[in-house]
Order: sequence, then structure tokens, then C-alpha cells
Amino acid sequence: MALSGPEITAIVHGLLGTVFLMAFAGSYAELIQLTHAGMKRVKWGITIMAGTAIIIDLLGDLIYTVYRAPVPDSARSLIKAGSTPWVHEIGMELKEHVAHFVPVLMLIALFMVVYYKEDLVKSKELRAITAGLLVTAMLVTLVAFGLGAYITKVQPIK
Amino acid sequence: MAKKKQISGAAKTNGPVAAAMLSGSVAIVGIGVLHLLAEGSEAAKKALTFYAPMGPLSGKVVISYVVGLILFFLLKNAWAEKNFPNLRTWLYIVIGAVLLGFLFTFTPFVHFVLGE
Repeated sequence: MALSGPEITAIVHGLLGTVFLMAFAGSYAELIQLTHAGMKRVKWGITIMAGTAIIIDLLGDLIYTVYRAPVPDSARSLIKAGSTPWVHEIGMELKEHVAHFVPVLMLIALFMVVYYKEDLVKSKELRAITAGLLVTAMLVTLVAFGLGAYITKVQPIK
Repeated sequence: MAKKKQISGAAKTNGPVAAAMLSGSVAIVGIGVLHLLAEGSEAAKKALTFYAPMGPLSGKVVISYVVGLILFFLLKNAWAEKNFPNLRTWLYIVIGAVLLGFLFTFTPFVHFVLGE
């Protein structure tokens, strides 16, 4: 069975979400016990997180246009007409907005790493603040990721 | 094993990072505020629809991001030499902005605010 364009986009969107979470794990682990050698890995990890966050949002916006198409068989129309309209009214409304917080959070973290460079190795306080930004971005991503998975289960994009 | 040397602070000022955190917070809360505005007014919803297939979400995101970016470049220069006593406070502001963003885009809260 051939996959449609939106289905392939949705798969890549979800896959990049996994890459984001993997990059978070690596960056966070390095930040906890940062050394001069680990600084390069943190920079790469946070750059990958910021880059994937931006691409995920762009792909998500693309899928969103298919989801909310003003036709009777779009995912949004079917969910709203079905027995669980709250999936759109609460779940999708929240997801479509909070997902756009993540690139902002990641760009702040990336700016911190680029601005402070090696100072990050010297200051435990700066590492804790950077880690706090990463954890916040990861938690928001998990909410968006979980809601996305649930909405797709209720009504897949075609 | 040699004991790790603990160095308390950074040599650079923290003003530019505080600028990034504040402008990012404004962008995040901005998405929520514009959502409330769009839900409360059909005219606002229409005005925020920059790209029809995406609906008002396009305007909410574009306006919030652009305002955040402009604010960042203004504050980054203005606070280049500034050193705030505690950068952690700015992280709490970012977390507060995220929580407000969640609240403003949570449909039951939107209905409560709009008296629906």
C-alpha cells in the first residue's frame, strides 16, 4: 500500500521528534558533568535540537493545513463530527500552539551556548540554567508529541 | 583522583542572555494572548489569517516571533554591558511564560475568560 504525501510528512515529523528527544538525552547528560571535551558535543546536541525543532514545526504546520482543510472528510471535520470532538477542541488546540514554544526555547538555549562558549564549562550556574531550558523544551515537546500521537490514533491524516 | 576545580562564574555579562530570555518569553506569551484575541473576536481571527490554509495560527506565530526577534535585537544591544544579579530569575520568567502560554491556549480556560 502506497503512502500519501501527508502520511510521509507525518512520519518524518514524528521521526524528527524522536531525534529531538535523543539529542536532548545526549546534551543533558553532557551538561551535568561538562568538560572542555564535552563542550563540542553539547554545542552539537543543542544545535541539532534547535534545528530539528524548527523543521518539526514547519512540517507540523504543513500537516496542519491538511488536518484542518475545509472539507467534510478532513481529520478535523471527522473528529468534530464524531463522538470525541474534545480531541480537537482541547487536544489539537493546545498542541498546535504549544508546539511553537519549542523553537523559541531551543534558540534561547543555543544562544546561551554560543554566547558563553567555554564559560559554560567553568560555571555550574550557567549549566543548570541551560539544562533548565532543555528540560522545559523537552517537557513541552512531550506534551505536543503525546497529543499528536493520540490525535493521529483517533483520526489519522490521509 | 584529582578534585575538580569549581569556578563560580562567567567572565561575560549576562545582559544579552537575559535579553534572549525576556524576548523569548514575550514571543511565547504572545502566541497565547493572540489566541485569546482570535477566539474572542471574528475580526481579529480574520486579521490573523495570514495564510488561509493554516488559518489564524499563521498570524499568531508570525507576529509573536517577529515581535520577539525585534525585542531581542533591541534589548541585546541595550543590555550588552548589563549584569543582572541572578540569571536564574530569568529562567523562572521563561518557565512562567510557558505556563501562561499553556493556560491561554487551553480551551476550557479560553471559554472561561470569554464567558462562554
